[in-house]
Amino acid sequence: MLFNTLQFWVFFAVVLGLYYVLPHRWQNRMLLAASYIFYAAWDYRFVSLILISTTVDFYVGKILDQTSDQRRRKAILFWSILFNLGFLGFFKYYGFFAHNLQHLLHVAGFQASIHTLNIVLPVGISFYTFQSMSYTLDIYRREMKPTSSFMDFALTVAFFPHMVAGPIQRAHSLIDQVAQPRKPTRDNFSEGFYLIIWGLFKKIVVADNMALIANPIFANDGHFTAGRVFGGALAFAFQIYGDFSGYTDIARGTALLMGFRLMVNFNLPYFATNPQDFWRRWHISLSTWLRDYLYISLGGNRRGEVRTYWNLLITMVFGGLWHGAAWTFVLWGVYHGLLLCAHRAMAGLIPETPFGVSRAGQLLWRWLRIGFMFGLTLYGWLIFRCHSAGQLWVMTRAVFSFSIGAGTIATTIKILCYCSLLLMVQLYQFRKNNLNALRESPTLIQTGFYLACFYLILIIGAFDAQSFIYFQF
Amino acid sequence: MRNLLSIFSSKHRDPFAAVILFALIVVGVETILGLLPDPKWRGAFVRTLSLPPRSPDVQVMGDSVALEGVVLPTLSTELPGHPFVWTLAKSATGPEFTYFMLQRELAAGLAPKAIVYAPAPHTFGTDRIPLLVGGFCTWPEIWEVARSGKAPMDVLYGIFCKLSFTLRNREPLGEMLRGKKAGQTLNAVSMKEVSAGLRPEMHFVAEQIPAVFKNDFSVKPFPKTFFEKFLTLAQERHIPVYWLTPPIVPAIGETRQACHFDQHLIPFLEDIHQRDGVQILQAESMVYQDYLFKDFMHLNQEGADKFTKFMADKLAPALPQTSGTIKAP
Repeated sequence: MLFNTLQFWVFFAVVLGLYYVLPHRWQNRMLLAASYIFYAAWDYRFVSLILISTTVDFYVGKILDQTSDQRRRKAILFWSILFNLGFLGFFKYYGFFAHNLQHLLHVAGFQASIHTLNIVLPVGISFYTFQSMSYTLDIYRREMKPTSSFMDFALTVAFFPHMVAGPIQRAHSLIDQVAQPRKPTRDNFSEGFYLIIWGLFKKIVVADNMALIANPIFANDGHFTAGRVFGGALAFAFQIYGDFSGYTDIARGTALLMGFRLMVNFNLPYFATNPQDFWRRWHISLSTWLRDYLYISLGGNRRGEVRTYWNLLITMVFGGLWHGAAWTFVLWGVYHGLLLCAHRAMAGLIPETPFGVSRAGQLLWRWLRIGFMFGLTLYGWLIFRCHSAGQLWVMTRAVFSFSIGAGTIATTIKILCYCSLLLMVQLYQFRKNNLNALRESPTLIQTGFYLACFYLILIIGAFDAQSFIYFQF
Repeated sequence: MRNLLSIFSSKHRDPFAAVILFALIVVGVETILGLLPDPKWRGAFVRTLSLPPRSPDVQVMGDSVALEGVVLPTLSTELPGHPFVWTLAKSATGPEFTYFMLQRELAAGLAPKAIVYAPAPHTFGTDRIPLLVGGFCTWPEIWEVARSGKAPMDVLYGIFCKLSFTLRNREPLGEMLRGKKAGQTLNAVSMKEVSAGLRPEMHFVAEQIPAVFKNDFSVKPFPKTFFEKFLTLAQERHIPVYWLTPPIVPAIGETRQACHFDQHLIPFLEDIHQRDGVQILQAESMVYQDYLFKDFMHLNQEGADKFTKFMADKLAPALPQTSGTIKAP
């Protein structure tokens, strides 16, 4: 059941209707049932996986809270993480590792036959596993108390707006909202509506039309020009942003209509001025999860400079691998890890105001950095999107041929036309340094924005209900 | 009133009011546009029906293959007694449209004496529910579609299309917004089709066969339900139905063989043949040379003449006694 299908909106209308007539406890029960139905619409067999993961983490949380012996607590946490990552690893990475191990043994001269299974990847397994793990990790760190209600915890994990593609909500923030009665407000309604229509616009108009440009370029293994590679990377940059941030907006919007506030997951990422800034703006829920639970656990920047670089690299490789079982994702993680390391190493060498302290000088320097970082991000998306290291090599070589090729300008103009409203709105938000800037503008401008979004969705939206990219992760 | 007008002030910043205003404008705009007739550049979405002036002796039904493959004056001339021949074949339609067309015709007291049904078989493997509901059906007919219980989301989307001018015309509007002339994309196909066809030495290339013709023959539940209803309706009124399998180009024939198309089509036709009042006149694939076609599926003038004469030869002994004059729509 995709957010960009009529089926979902009929489902949501029924859920919302029931939600508003039920008392608080029954709201939660109904939402839990609706969330499992939502998930079962993909594959009912995997509802059991969520249930098992939820049950284990609920009881592990209780035991961790009641145990004072630190060594025992550590052991319990270890087994809990192993259990969660074991599930994730089996479904997501078994085939990848088995295939690569077999290849490695073959290169070493051994004839090994490792049984590979045709395992179906449960939708959103990485999201709900991380979500569920954050609960036990926070209890282990004594940052929160476990909930006494299994129902509340189950709803926290399975809450349908964020279950399959995030944001990866911190357990304590959502459990508190589940436990407390929620009141519908005018502000929640208008913000929810804004997020839904903007999210649908990003998905249906931007992402799905960009897919029509990017897919044929990446499907080709033959001749590339620098212009064609640039066109493909640019289209994919907007596709993946529109797709994922669109999903998050719709998730946040639907949750808001029910009184839940999910965290912001994207904060104008293509306006980042450096790699660190990018990861503070892109997939914030994952980057903060990795920072809090992996980078800091590894020692963060507290164990010397060399160890800090190592920790950054490990964290980003893990982040890359989180996206999928393929070497291109590992490479993408390494690339971003290296960018973060390079930025850290050069932080003191880069002047703060090379063009003077005047407003124009500062503005020029800022936009130069944004442009440079966007270029680095584009190359990152090339790594991410290529279906093999071979294709990446061919495309990278094409970039350095500096040949524009026929149709490059037309493709770029087409991309910019489809993304014009997105760019205008984001420039406005960036200038005001406020993601809610549009909702604070005059009523008529907001109305015009809704009308533009709505009619563009109806008229040039791609209506073939393409799946969201991040579902596969 | 002053409160209401304050919405036009740049100082008025109420997000809730903006949502309400937006909803009111959309409802207002769509209602006003909905009252207007669909424009000429509406594209292929809206299907209209031209009922015959009187009961036809022979009526051709089906999709564009039947529309373009049967030459009405030729058919009438070739049949004994020169019967009154009419066509209710429509481009990009399927069996579900055929049922409602016959139903409307019967309601108008214009029952045909015989029906020649010549659809492209792939129309049974595709759904056109939003088009049917949004661009063809009346409200009672929509209720009948909804009651069938098939594809409720498509029916709902079709209802939205029926209510919304913008949804109904999204293709030509989208073309205009993309800087193309309305109907350009649709016409690009038809312009190609208008050409006389290939020269005898030219051939259609198998690699260019559209994906829809590469699929095995299948029958989706929705077209099946309404095809059954169509046959039942004809049977109740004692109208004989003659199913004619349209000719195909050699490349399509080879593709069909590879995907076992005929192995599944023939049992389906045999099953229909068991029914009272239905006669299959050409069950096996008939392959014509490429130069008789405009494209992979549609016959050109020469091909249509040849097919119509073939059809008349097959029909003549089977048809009930007919008489009348020719009337093309």
